[in-house]
Parts: sequence; structure tokens; C-alpha cells
Amino acid sequence: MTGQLNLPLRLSDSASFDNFYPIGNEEVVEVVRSVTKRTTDKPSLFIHGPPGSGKSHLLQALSRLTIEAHGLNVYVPAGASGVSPDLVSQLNADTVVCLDDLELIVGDREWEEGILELYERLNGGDGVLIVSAKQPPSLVGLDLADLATRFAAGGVYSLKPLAELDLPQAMRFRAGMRGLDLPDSVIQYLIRRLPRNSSVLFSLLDRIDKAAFSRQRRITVPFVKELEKELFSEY
Amino acid sequence: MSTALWKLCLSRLEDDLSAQQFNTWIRPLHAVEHANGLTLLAPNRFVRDFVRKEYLGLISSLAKNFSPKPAAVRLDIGSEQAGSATSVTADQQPAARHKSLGALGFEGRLNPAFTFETHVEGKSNQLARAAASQVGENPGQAYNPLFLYGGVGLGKTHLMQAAGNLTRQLKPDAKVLYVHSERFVADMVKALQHNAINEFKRFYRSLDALLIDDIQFFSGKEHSQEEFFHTFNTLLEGQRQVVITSDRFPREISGVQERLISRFGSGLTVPIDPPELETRMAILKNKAQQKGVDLPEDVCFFVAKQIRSNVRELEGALHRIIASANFTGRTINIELAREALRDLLVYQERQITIQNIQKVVAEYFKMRVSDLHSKRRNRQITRPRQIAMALAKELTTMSLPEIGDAFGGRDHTTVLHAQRKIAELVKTDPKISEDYQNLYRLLGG
Repeated sequence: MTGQLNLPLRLSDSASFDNFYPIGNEEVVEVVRSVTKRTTDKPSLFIHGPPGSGKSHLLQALSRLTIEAHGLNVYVPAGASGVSPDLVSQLNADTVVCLDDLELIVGDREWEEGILELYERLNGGDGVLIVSAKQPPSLVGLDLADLATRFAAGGVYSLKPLAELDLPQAMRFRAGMRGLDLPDSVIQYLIRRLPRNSSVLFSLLDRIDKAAFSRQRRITVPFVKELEKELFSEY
Repeated sequence: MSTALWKLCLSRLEDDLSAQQFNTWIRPLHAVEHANGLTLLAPNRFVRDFVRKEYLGLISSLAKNFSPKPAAVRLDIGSEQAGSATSVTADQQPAARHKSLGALGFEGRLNPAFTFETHVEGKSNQLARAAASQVGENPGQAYNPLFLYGGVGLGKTHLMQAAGNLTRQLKPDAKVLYVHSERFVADMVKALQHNAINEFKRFYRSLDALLIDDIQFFSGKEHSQEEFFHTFNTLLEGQRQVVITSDRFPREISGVQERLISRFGSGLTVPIDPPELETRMAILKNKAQQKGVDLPEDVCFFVAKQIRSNVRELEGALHRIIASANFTGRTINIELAREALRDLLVYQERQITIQNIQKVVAEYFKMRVSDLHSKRRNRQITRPRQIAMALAKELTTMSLPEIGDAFGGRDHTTVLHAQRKIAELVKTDPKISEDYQNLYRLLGG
């Protein structure tokens, strides 16, 4: 074991299917990956799961895949600034639309009607609408029953959060995708010290990696302890 | 083609922005170099507008820093393959995206899969089907307008389009248009924006048959209602067919002008009820057959028994089972169906509780939940209580004694009596039948 990082350059950790830890969610990952093949006559796919289960990761991975294949794609983070029903109304009928965090806009009539109209438009073209939410269509709180049942008619899949026992393996996998050999002691330390939520742990891993790279340090428990104040204070 | 200048900008942007921001907005851009700087091609207008608003300033200053000569940054719509020469400009985009109304031809947005042959008939939709079939055969003459109403996902759109497809089959040059109300409104707004409202009016008023779906979405949209009113009158006067669907009876649609409501009811108004078990099974078999899948009888029964609310959820369940069988390479059987639908059924059970039933029934009849539990026996209270008990038996797995307990400690024979009484009244009393169906739908049963 050398005292240096395994790779000379910091690898990008952007969301992709390759760095999504699929254990327990193999079917839904495959369904999202093949979404553009339109295996159903319905133009929608609905993914639900608790925070940290990887919904945004999957939607962004699909966006990336579609863009790489030169397809039309839009990732729509619902509720983000600048994202409005008016913008959604301009999307092409052949677009793969990844609408993340649906619950942030349910109950907003203009949004719901905009999405219904988008659904109908995509249905008339080759587009697909992939929606993520914490709850399934019937429980997410949509005012338009018509929209909830349209979502129900396409594929509805739940995304299971990582079980606690799987977290070390998932972190090792994620670190491996970045070219990092993360010692077990560091993994155990992070899991003990932080909320056992994959999105928190993965995001911290990213920041620790950047800090190690910029300071030319090896990732060890003492180094992670040094970063506590700087990186962990919010947890 | 990516340029050296753009690569430098990208490396800085990747550091400065979060991974989500970078992947969502910056990664999809393709750069084309020109003498005065860069043109960034966004895949669509949505991305272009957002990048312009949020990041153009940052990108321009980075380009100035990295470039030895002054570099202007332009944003446009297009793709790397198309290159700058064929990139679509912002102004051309809407026209390229939406076929103009005139260019629509008379494909008329009809889905060819929605025919009477692919529609499954049952007691719940018999009348509506017969009416739609007559309208399809004799547009403008049989029933005009034909108004179909019922809960979501019960096949209103299918029947409406089947009528349109039949007309087109019998008379291929007939101008039949299917349009969702939302789309009608959106097209009208676009026509107003592009000074094309006269073309819009001419187009709609020249149709032989207009099939307009989910008319309740006109609620509160005065301008669209006004335009639709005139279109509607022109078509009816010219003996052209109008078919309308809604999720409720015309008089119950709020926010729509009285004069429109009364015209909706001037032809034939037919309800479509939720399908009964046999029809749900027939629908599943039919859908499976269309997908070339052999669905065993016990699986069909299991799914139809579990998913009671509407056809769309049945389709979703079937889709899930087929996808699961394809993914795992297993044969479709009851075990696979249970596994594939596990999440769906768990959520459904969670949703329909006896407390929820009591709350919804009490709200519907404008009374208190405590009245349902009370010993009071006047008709205004006993009937809703009996309906709530019957719904609890139908929609939950609770036993008669458990239901009795939940209604103020009543005996199981009281629940049994309630269940039988309501079953009888649903057949003989239209008001009770309507209340029961409405509550059934509200509860997502």
C-alpha cells in the first residue's frame, strides 16, 4: 500500500448507472435504463422511495445516458428556481423527461395540469416521462385523479433504500468507482459517525475525496477526523 | 465538436457547480467554435432558457478569461450532429415541434388501438358502448352531443376514440379530431400568441366530428369556454358530431358556464361505472392477449380481485407482472404475481382503512364520524352507517364482528344486515346506487 492516491487525477463522480449500487433494486434499475425502448404503450414510469434511496441518481443517470445517445432529454428538478409549468409546456413530444421530486409540486393546479398536458403530448410522440416521488401515485397527494391513474397505468416501481448491512459494501463500491481504495476503518468510522443514509454518506465521500486530493493526503481515520469541523458540522 | 476553450470552461464549471447542476444544465451543451467566440447548443428551449438565465454570465466571464482574444458566447438550440449550420433557432422551434393545425391532416390524433374490438364490454359500460357505436356509425345523427361520464380510468377515452375510428373506417375522408381539453386550451393560447386564432377557429369549425376529452378541465377557463361554445354550436347546427367526456355528470361540473352545461345535456348523457369482477378479468385477459402473453386463470382472478378501482391500475398491474417475468425469466404464476404486486398491494391496504371509510362517508353525508358510532337510529344516520359498513366489508379484509366493533360495538348480524340491505338498495334505488358508487370511487376501491 502506497501513501498516494491510486489515480493521479480526481475522477468525476457524476451520477451514472455504473456507479449506482443496484443490490436489492436490480429490476427497477434495469427498467429505468431501458426506459427509452418504450416497452409499454404508456409513456410514463413512476419511481417512488424514501429520501436517500437513489431516485435522483437514477433519473440523472438516465438523463446522461439519453444525452450521450444524442436523444432529447430534460432533467426537471421540481420546485427548483426557474423551473415552471410554462417551461415544461415547451418540451418536445419526443423528449425523455425526468421529473424529480414530484411531491414538491403536487397540489399546484397549474403544475398538475401542465404535467397532464405533457403526458398527453409525450403519448402522441416518442417521449417518455419518468417521475420520482416519495410515495406511489395514489398516495403522493395529486389533486388530479386523472394524473394519478395515468401514472398508475405505466410502470410503478418502488426503490428500496440501502439496508444498514449493505452500507459498507455500497461505500466500497462507490469509492471503487472513483478509483479509491477506502480502508474499512474509514468506512466503519463514517457509518458510526454519520446518519446512515446513502445520499449523505456518498456526498461526504465525494467531499472527503476532493479534500484528500487538494491536500495530497491519504484517506485515513485521522485525516477524516481532521475534516470533521469543516465537513461534518451539519450532521 | 468540443473546443479547447469550451474544455477549459467545462473544467472550471465542474469545480464551481454542484454535480447535479453541472450534469443537468452544462453537460448537455455542445460547443461550436466560430471566429468571435463560442456558440453553445442546448438540446431544447427549456435548457437554453435556464442556462441563459442562470449561467450565461458565468460562462461568458470564464470564456473571456481563458481566451486570448475577446470571446462572445451565444446560446442556441441544436445538436452536435446537426452543427451550427442546421441548428434550429429559438423562433423556429415551436413550429418544428408542433405540427401546425393545418398540417395535422386528418389523422386527427386518434389512437388506432382504441377500437370496439379491443374494448371489453360489461354491465358497467354496456349502454355507453352501444351509444358510442351508434354515434360512430351515424355521426351527427344518432345522439348529439354524446356525453360520457364516469370515474377516472374506466374507458371513456377508449369508447370515444372507438367511435371516431369507426367513423373513419366507414368514411375515410371524414374529418374526425380527438383532443384532450387541456390540449384544446393550450392550442388556443398558442394560436392567440401567434396571431393564428382565425385559423384555429376555422380548423375546429370545419370538423365532421369533434371528440373532446375530460371537459371538466375547462373549469374556470372563461376564454376557452367561450371559444368552445361557438365551435360547439357551429358543429351541432351543421349536424356534425360532438362527443364529450367528463369525470362527472354535466350539472356537477363547477366553473363552467350554465349555457354550456345545458347544451352538454341536450343529447344523450350516459354513465360508465367501475367494472365488476367478471369484466375486470375479461379486461386483463384481453390486455394480456394484446401483448402476446398467456395469463393463467388464477393470476387473472387474483389481480382482478385485488385491483378494483379502474382499468388503468389493472393495466399497470399487468404491466408490472409481465416486466417482472421478463426480467427474472420466470413463468407467470400466482407467486410471481404476488411478488410483483407486493408494494402496490401494501399501499392499497394501507390506504383503505375502516377509519378512512368512516371519515369519507361522514364527510360525504355532511355528518360527524361520531354519528356513525352512535346509537341513534333515524334514517339520516342509519343509511350512511349501513353504507359505511357495506363499504368496509367490500374494501377491507375485516371480519363482520371486527366491523361491528368499529361502529360503536355493534353485533356482527347488524353488519350482515347492512351489507344485504345496501346490496339490495343499490339495485333498486338510483340515489343510493349513485352515493355508493361515488363513495367507492372516492375511497379508491
